[in-house]
Amino acid sequence: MRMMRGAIKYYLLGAILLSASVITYFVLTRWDLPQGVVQLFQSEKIMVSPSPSPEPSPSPEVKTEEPRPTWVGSNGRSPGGRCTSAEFRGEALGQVTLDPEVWAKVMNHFHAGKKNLLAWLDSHQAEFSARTYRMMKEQVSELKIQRPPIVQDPDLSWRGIGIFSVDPKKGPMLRMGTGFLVLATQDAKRSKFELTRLIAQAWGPCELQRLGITEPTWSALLQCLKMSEGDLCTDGSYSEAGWAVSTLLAAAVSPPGCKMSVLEKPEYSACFRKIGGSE
Amino acid sequence: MNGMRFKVLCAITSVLALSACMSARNHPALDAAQNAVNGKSDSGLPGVRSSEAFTEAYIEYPGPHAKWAGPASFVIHISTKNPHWALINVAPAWFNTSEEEQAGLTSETANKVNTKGLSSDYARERIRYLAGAMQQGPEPTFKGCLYPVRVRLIREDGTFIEKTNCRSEVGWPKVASEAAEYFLTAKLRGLSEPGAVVVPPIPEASPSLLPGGEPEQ
Repeated sequence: MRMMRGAIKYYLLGAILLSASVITYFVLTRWDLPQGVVQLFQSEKIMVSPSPSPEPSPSPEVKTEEPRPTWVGSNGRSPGGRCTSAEFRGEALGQVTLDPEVWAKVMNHFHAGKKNLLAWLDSHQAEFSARTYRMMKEQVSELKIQRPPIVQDPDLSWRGIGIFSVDPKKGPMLRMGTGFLVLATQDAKRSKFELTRLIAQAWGPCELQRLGITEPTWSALLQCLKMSEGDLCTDGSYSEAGWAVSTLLAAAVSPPGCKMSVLEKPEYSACFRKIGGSE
Repeated sequence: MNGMRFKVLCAITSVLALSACMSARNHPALDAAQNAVNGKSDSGLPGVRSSEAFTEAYIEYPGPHAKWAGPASFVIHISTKNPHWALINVAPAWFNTSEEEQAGLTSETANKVNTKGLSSDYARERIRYLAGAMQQGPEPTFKGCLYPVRVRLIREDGTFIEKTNCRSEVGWPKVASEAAEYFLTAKLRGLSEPGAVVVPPIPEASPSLLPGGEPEQ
């Protein structure tokens, strides 16, 4: 009996030691404890908190520098006021936050772009067949816009551009990069222009071909720009004409607020005037 | 004597129990979890990986001609030649700049952006995954593309695979887009590999965070 009691005592002691070892082990290895606590367990060193660094002495001169912008990117205009690429850096896909007020601005610019392009289409209705006019009107009226973050195109979470995309299930839509939200707050004119250009890409020569429109919709403009519409939309081709048509249309109905260098060339500005643009 | 035997037995039992507890670390499930934390396991990416090793990758989104003032060409270059850290560079150059540097703070205070954001092992694994997608299945077809994407993956011996296509939701262009986001995040924010990076504090998820927002009209 005494032996049994002794045994129980040692088992209890063993269990306590075991529990203590396990807890200590987990505390030291698995938990994400502050380094100081780990060191305290490991080496029993007395921790001395670092002395605070001295306050910087006030500068004798008070500089009145302009506050630098908090965004990272390109504001879309050269020092001479010419249009360049407008793009602002966004954020990691998992850290994107969307301010509803900023998105409301983007939506306003999107609707303004649609309205301007539809007004342009109405005023140029005579230049298109009835079917083409109807399809172009539908294409823009029903175009959707997707707000960031966009999991289908994750690189857009960092890049500040938007793209025209054809979703296999939901049809044509604009997908906006996170950095575009900065453009919408920084430069409303440029934001409207960029959105209008993306919307106008729904009328690009190859996009209209995809819809089954076989008539040479933009031949007059493309001939003027010295681009051939015939071999634009072949397999594996890239559509410079899509950028030309959409850029000039957008510049005509939603001017970007900077000088388009392409329009400084007389041959291009003449083409621009043919579609109703004025510099 | 018997008491002594019990004492010895108790001590042996305790030691055995303790070692059994320690050996639980070798349990496959625990190992997997631990390896995931230490960055030793597979990255958890579904799909096919190439069996080849690549030391460099270029992912490029060429922009339209400059005269249209459209999006600038975007290139991200990843080099895994360094045994420890992947070197990631991006054009336009301002992608490499931290917000703090932009705001005029010194590099000492601007340590939010970690240039050593990713181990070479992780980067190589991600490139192999992209290579697997590029070497798998039929090439998506396209016509009159407005947004091309070009990827070049370079092997150790200098040979490479290169493909160009249009960005889309299917096939390797989608995987390239994911890889671009992954490497940019690694470069600019750092990835959570313990002991490897200084990860900036992650803000609380905002209720307005709506991943993959539904399209609006």
